Amino acid sequence: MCHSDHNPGRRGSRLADGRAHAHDHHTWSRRDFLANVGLTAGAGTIALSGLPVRSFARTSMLQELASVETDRVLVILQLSGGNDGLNTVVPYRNDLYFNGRPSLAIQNSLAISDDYGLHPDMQGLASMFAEGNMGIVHTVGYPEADLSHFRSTDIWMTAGDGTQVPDTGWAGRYLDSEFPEYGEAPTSYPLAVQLGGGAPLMFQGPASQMGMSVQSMALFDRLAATAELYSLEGLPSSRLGGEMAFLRSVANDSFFFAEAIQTASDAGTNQAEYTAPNPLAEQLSAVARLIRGGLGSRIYHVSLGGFDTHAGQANTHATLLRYVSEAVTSFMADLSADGWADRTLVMSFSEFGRRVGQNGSAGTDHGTAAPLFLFGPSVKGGLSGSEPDLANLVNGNLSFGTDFRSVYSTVLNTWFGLGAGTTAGILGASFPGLDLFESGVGTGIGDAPDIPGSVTLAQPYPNPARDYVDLSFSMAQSSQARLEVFDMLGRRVQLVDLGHRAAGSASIRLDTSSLTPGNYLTRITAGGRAATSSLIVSR
Amino acid sequence: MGMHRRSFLGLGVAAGETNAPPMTDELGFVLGSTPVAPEPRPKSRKRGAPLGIAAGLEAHATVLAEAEVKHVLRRCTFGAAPGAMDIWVGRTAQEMADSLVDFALASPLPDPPSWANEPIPGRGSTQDERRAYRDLSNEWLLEFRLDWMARMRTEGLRERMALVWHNHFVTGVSTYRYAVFAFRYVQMLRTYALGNLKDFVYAVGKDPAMLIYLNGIQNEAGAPNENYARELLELFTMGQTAPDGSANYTEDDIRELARALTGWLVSGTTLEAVFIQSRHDAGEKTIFGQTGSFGYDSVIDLLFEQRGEAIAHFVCRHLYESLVYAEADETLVSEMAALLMASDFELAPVIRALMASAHFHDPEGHGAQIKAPVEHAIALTVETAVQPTPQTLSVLQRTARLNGQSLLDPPNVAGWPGHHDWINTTTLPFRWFVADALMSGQGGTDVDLVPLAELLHDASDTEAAFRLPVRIVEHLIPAPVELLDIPEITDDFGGDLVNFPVPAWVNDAPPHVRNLAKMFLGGQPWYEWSPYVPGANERLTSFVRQVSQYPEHQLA
Repeated sequence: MCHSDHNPGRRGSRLADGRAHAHDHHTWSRRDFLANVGLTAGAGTIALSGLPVRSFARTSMLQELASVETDRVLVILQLSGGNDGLNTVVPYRNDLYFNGRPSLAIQNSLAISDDYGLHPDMQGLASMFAEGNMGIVHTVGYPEADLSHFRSTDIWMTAGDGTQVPDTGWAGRYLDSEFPEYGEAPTSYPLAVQLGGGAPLMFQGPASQMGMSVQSMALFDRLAATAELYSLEGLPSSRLGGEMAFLRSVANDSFFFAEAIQTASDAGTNQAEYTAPNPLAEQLSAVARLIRGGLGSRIYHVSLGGFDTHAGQANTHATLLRYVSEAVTSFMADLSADGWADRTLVMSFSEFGRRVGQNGSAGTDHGTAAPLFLFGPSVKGGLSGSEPDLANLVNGNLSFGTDFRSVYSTVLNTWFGLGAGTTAGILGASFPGLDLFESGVGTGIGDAPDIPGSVTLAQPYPNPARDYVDLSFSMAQSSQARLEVFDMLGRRVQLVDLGHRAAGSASIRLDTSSLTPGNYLTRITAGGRAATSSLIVSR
Repeated sequence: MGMHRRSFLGLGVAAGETNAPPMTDELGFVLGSTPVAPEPRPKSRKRGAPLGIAAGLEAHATVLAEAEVKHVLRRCTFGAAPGAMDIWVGRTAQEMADSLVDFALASPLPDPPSWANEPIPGRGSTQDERRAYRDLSNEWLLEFRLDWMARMRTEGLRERMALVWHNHFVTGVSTYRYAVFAFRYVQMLRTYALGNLKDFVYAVGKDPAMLIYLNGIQNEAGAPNENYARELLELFTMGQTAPDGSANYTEDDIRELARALTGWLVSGTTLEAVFIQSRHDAGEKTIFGQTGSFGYDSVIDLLFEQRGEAIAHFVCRHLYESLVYAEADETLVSEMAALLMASDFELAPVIRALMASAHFHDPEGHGAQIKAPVEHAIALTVETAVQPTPQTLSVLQRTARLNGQSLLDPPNVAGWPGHHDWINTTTLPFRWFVADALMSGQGGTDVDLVPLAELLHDASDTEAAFRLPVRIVEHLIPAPVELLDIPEITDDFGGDLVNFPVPAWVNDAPPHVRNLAKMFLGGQPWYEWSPYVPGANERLTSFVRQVSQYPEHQLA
């Protein structure tokens, strides 16, 4: 189970292949960076020492701290452009479907029920469906559907609807509720990671951006190679000094994050084959490495574009669906190799579906409701939700049966174990829960007995702390346990031996009166598992 | 929650297919679609205190030093070109301010692009025609954004002020959609950027983009839409409260003002605002306690008559926050406002005075502002004297959007909050990526930094290897170089140090001189450096890339 037990056996993923030998990987990436900035050519050793490398000595400690036991991970898979739901989950007995799509209707779908079949290029997912690890929710949408790509994407990312779009992301609000001090005391790893793209709206919290977007793994290498913590000492008391401190602390935070990402990416391996070329497989294989490598991020966002199939849809759409099927199948096989799959949920979304009737260019125009997919062993497999009603269209479009915020609500409640009140606060209203998970998945994070070997640590209270702090933790199995406190330089400042403890929840009070005011990390370790939480001491 | 991230009409720019274009009736009037009233989001208020500068609007007393020249150019144009120092150092701040303002006032507006008057397909058109127009319009829009960025490089103050006003009289192309309107809107900003504020306000409300963006075209007699009236008061002219803290207007004032502003539509044929008498509410209105059958211009006159002081304060505060510091100094704003009123709301005298003022030139303000993404990108091309290709500009446009500044499309009617909101752990590394992309010539730009080296330092200096790196850092970063956290490099200089010992003054100099030189040389012998040796340009670009990753490079 533990990733450190694995020999990094690179099994031919495309990304791994590109990096030659596993043991050379770190060196290789540094050298690549140096080559990129033109410092290696004839530059000698001084170029290396010219690079700011002061933080490297701390890497191992940071790596350890960042390797928290992730309780559960959500991977959000965006199908960008508006996926044609009807050609993905095909109503293969429905004449209205075939009538509306004389040249585009899928004739040879892979039956998954008496009425529906998957697109023939989704072989892998058809098998996953048969194994009960894929859930399909029919006709997901929202009231007053907006058919603009941008607006509707924003709606899905913010959990708004056709009448209002919040300016923060739903996942950002979730993370903000879990890490309320994040703005003042950021974690040493990003709480959420978006592969590609700009400032992620989905991860925008009320006070700060809760996630980090990275353009490519090459950029990680670059960041890691130049990672230097900037001094926050000795700055002038002028306004310039204040702005310098602000910028330096953000730069330092991004170094922490990049280092955590790089470290996890180096430590993690892929345990399954990914096909190439497949842009989604590249992203998901990277996510698998980050999860296995112990990056503590809770949420990952990957995306595949090209679904805006207004013309000549058939071949384009088939290729895209094959990408999705092969990438997700490989990803789940990868994570299943050592049990990570149990703690990983993949949820798809697309800003809208497409028009029922095909247009004059052998394509389909923007539509409304579409099926949403959930993948993972914890998912209750099968079809659910109201089936698409092709006999009662509105402007040629399907009516929605399930509000997407009901799906979000169920994920927050069941997967992340939030209370109904917290979930309603995050989503702005209460939405009916859905039956999306296997029984037993819905236990809260604080006491998750279905995850073998896990240990969790609740937010310290009070935080900021003055003279003491209460730390509540729970262990899924009885084992030796210890509690440690680290300062932001990674130095251990306190160690409490908790002895051999029985499984269950407990709380201990820690004396903080001897700690210098500042930011700390608390970590509990039990049975080879660890969980961390940030702590602020102030007086 | 509950705030609108953008003020949409529910229409996306590149949205493609099923967004029906605004309905056009037989007269060719664009009527727009169902409005979603935008709610302004208050700008972020995490600025801290004002600068605390004692000096006021009086002219800066001493002649300009290099840092002061750069300060003017960084704040009032898009970066300090390396060649500009020779022109301004040793002259007075007033001379420089006058010269920049006079140049901006005298420079002609750009010619309209070839597509500027292409009418929007009306009611009789087919879906294919509308789609074709929309696709073309999206191409024009990209072209127009790049043209604007190219002009920012060359036109300085005029375009800087246009961008300042874009973030004041905000419209978003996600809502009004068409390039033809974007062009008119920006041209209007350029026209009045240093003109008369009252004329500016007349023009803003009749701008097609604004009429669509804030639902002016839905504002008609008997069915008023208050959106524009509210923002006109709250965000564009006077703000909610006067300098003395009293309320500037009531909800009744907004309702009555909306009636006065009724009657305007936008023609899809001429692409201009059109007044339709039958849509105008000609009845009596009572605004600020004054009763009359106010119409469009007369009600703007009324705003300036009744609330002139509040308007002057509010607009000068925006100018101050844009050009000096994110948190306004109210004393200085009052001085600016008094000057604006004394000048009958002419903006140029205020901008002249501010740029030349002792307050503006106080060292406390230097480097205290964070560059906006577009400014960051354009300034880097200006300050390195690199001429970007259109493809490179396109890269810079796209990356600025990813960093939170989509030109022509601010997040909502309150504009970009700016300052600290620009910077987070995603955008800061991405700014490094942008600098990397530019320095590596992405988009086919010829990155030749030898002219930069020549302009910044005497190319014949045999000890330039120790002086040029410091000059480059001082040129690209407004913070004093001795304050930067430059890593100590313990390895000695490369080459034959027995026959070519490092000059004594270098060993006596502060450590940053040696460390920057080592960083710059990358192991090359110091005595072999000249801008004309093979590999000189690679060394320069590599060094600029590293310098651009210092956090302080984000400051202006």
